[in-house]
Amino acid sequence: MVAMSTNGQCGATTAKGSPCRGRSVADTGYCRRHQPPAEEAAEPRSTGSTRGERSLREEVEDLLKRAVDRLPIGRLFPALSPGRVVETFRAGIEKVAPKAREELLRSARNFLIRQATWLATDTWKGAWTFLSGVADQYRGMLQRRARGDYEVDAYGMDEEFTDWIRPAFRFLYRFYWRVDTTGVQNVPGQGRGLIVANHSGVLPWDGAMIMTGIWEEHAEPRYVRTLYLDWFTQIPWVSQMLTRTGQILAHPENGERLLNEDRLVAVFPEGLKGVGKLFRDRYKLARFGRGGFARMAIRTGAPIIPTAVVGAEEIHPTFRRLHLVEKAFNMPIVPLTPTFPWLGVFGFIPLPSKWKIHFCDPVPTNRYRPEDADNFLVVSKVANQVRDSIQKKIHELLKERKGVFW
Amino acid sequence: MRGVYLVTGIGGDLARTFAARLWSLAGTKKVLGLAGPTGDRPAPKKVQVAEIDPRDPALVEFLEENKVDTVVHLDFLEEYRHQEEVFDRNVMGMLNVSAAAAESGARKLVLASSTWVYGAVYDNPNYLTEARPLRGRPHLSHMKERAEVERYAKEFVATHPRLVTTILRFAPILGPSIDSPLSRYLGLPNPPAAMGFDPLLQLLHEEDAVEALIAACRADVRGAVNVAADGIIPLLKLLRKAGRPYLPVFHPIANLATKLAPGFAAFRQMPIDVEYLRFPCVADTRRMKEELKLTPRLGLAEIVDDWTKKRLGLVGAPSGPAEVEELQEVEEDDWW
Repeated sequence: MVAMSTNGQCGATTAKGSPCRGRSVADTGYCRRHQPPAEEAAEPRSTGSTRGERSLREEVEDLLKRAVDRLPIGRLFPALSPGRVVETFRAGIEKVAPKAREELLRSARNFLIRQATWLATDTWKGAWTFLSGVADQYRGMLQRRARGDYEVDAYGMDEEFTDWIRPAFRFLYRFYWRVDTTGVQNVPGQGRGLIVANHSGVLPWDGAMIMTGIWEEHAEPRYVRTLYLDWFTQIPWVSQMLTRTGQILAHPENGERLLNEDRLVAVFPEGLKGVGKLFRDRYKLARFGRGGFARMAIRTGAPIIPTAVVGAEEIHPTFRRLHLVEKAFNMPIVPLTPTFPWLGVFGFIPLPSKWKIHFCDPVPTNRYRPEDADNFLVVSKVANQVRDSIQKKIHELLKERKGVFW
Repeated sequence: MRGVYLVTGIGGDLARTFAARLWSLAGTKKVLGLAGPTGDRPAPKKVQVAEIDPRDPALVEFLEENKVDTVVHLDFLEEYRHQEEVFDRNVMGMLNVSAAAAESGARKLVLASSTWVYGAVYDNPNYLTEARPLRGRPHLSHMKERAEVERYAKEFVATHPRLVTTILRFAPILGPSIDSPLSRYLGLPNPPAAMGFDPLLQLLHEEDAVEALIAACRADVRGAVNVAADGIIPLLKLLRKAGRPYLPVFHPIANLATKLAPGFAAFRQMPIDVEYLRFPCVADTRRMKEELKLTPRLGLAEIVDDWTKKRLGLVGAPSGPAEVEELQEVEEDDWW
């Protein structure tokens, strides 16, 4: 009945009547599609004769023996040698009621045939080789880094480290906040550029997502150097992490230096006022600092790319701020959110809102002279233009959005 | 008279190498030295050491008598704890030397300082230019004295426009023969590092520090100039590269330990303020390249290598001046 094919081809015929061209799965003589369950079903189930059962049992024992034989565990543990395993199996099957026995044997047989790949030693050998190779590579990397053999750029950015942790940010970008990024063509692929975005959500996740967005979606992926608040430099590990991933302290001198080196810089002119916004004030832009970003762009002639981020306001909805605690512990923000401080450290987990990021048309600044940077009228004109375009785009994106979490 | 130099603090490592190296400058006629800060070492070759204290007001007559053209003040002791005598030497000595140089009609005064006078402050920009205010609030006395000297120097530069005063702000110096706060820190059995911080550092090789002093004698640059090798190195990378097993300490504890409890072995000899282990203090070297026309020869990798080799004893007896003397003899004779 079992038409064993000799050349590794499937032995069944298709519905059209031609021989199946699929490759047979190990030892069955049939391809994945024409597996024996169909054949079993064809056998009259009611018969259940002792002869059928016996042959079935022999087949299962044979398969079991071969499967165990292929695994090297028998050499290590005598109790798991093929002979002993089959004995155990035989003893066990005797205890099963005769009615259930055939059903059990049949499923055992199907399991052994179907899972032949997983029971094969080569599969595990291959997986082991692969995993130990990866582990070796990481161990080598960690050992090398422990010797101090890694490179940082002029601002302390460690590209190897950044690339290493990028998958975590990619996960947040793709699956956690499901960020929709549009207008990424407005970000220059080369040369200087200043991304100016609204700031929200207590912790600066929006900066991380803008950085990931440009890396993931842009035709010419590049690093974004975000200018961060000086408060973060005082926090252990946070300051270290920010420096290693290429973020830089927000200081006019730093910004101008970066832009003059033709880099892509991101700033959040709202600063603390943006991230510390209450939930009822969401998506209302705060004051844009003192226009320092515009001064920076005019002085270096860098185009400003106004950027609207929608969704970050809801990751940590702040109902209230504890001003007294902030003052007592010299913390910039201590918010009350649905999760913080009630859930302790779990309160730091942001909510999975749906995000949209849009990079608006660039505002050119090269028609001004560098001296205009000291003219407050020009600076404030540019700053207001940028602020208005961000606020307008935020409203548009909010209208497009169906709900907070989808 | 051009070509007559006075180097103070001739007992110091840097000053000895520099004084010997001055003869390679075109037009050097005479190199005078003043003993100090520790005076038990023999004078380098071809340097006439005068028995006069830098704090002595009679220094003016000495300068006039010898027609000194350039005064290079390198008399500075780096002590951690306040000692009246050291303070006297470091601060009062500088005041007297600068006043005497102005009074005697010398043409140029070169002072040595450190980039650490800018202070490691949390909101420092990544690169500090010479115009930045000096904001350090150091606890260690040598840093306090540096800051004080800088304050006087600033005043002095403003009130004595006739005298060309160059203040060289050196990045932390490392090298096979020099003893500096950073080399002492790296030499600790377990250098403490602030937990969770990895500040960016600049370094300078001692050879390049000497080159900078030579360049300051050659070019007339007024005011402060930062001197550092190209590039920056994170502190933890430096410690790993130098093969030092560091001890991470939570910074408030480290602060407390340095201030209050000299009983902690790790901190008793701590030559660096904890702030410098937390925040960057990196200087902009554009002025050095453009005005001083100096490009440091040795990069960060070589600096750390040199220091590590010396520590492991891979190079011979590290004594700059002795080697320089031998080298000069070789140059003078026909060595081929």
